[in-house]
Amino acid sequence: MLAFLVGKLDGGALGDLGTGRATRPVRHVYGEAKDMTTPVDAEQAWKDLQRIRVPQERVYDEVERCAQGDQRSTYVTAALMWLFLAGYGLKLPPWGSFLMLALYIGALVALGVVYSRRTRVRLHRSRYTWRSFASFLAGGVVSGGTIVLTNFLTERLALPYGNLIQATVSAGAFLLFVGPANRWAISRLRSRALGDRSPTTVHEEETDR
Amino acid sequence: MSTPSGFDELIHPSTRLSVVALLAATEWADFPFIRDSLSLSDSALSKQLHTLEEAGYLEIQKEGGGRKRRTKVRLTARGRTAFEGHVAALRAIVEGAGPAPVRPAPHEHAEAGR
Repeated sequence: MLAFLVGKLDGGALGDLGTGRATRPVRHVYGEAKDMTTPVDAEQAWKDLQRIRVPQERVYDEVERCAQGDQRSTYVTAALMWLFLAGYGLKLPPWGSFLMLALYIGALVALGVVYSRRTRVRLHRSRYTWRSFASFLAGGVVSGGTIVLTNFLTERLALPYGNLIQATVSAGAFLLFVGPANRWAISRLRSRALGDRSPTTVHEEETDR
Repeated sequence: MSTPSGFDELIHPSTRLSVVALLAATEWADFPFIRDSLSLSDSALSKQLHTLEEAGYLEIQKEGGGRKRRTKVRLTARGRTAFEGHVAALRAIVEGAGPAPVRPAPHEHAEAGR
């Protein structure tokens, strides 16, 4: 308090009496010509910078928890894929194929909406890395490639129940790919944004003051 | 001694700084997530959010109704700019050259990190 008053009176020239540091006065005008002065020294500024890290760590905790812990939506997506591929191979008339495709897309959209409603936080777009887009593209390539390859092989080898084999292999490849790809995509998000230093909590910092 | 440009009195208080820092990492966050992450009460968080909303730093969006009512909080472009300016000002204070020591001593770093 004394340091604050001194800082107000002398413009920071005398500094903080407790630490002997010069207090750097900051003048900021906000809103309707509301003039305030806050003395901020280097130590306080450094603590404020540390304080910023803590809530951002919580955001990354939540993003990682969602990416690693939510396996139900992955299984549901794989099940939808299996149903679509198995049904698509039944040699349906064109309207039946279009109906099945529409149902599949509708189910995926509904799943996305449900998942979005359960999400508590969404990471800002500037925080994603190239890995996120690469894993998304690779997911499409792996799924599409598996579908095309198994279709070619089942027709070439004239296997019975080819559509079921195609659906099972494709859904299995999707399941095997999604987990590691997700982990790989999010593994660099936190360190890229916040560095590798271990965080401190708000409470720990406040007890330190 | 020069005044760091970008220093923002509105988001300087610790609770508001934490709220804005959390929102800066997100597209949006819902109210309970912010409350739980920062260990704040509903009323304390609500008060800070409305102060920031009045300044145009964030948007509060209510969705649904009844028990499924959900409150999403989003930092505006103005709020994001203010936060980035404030962080830059804090860094300038820490790193700035001058007659005063610009960085806390190593033992103070260790204490602050505990």
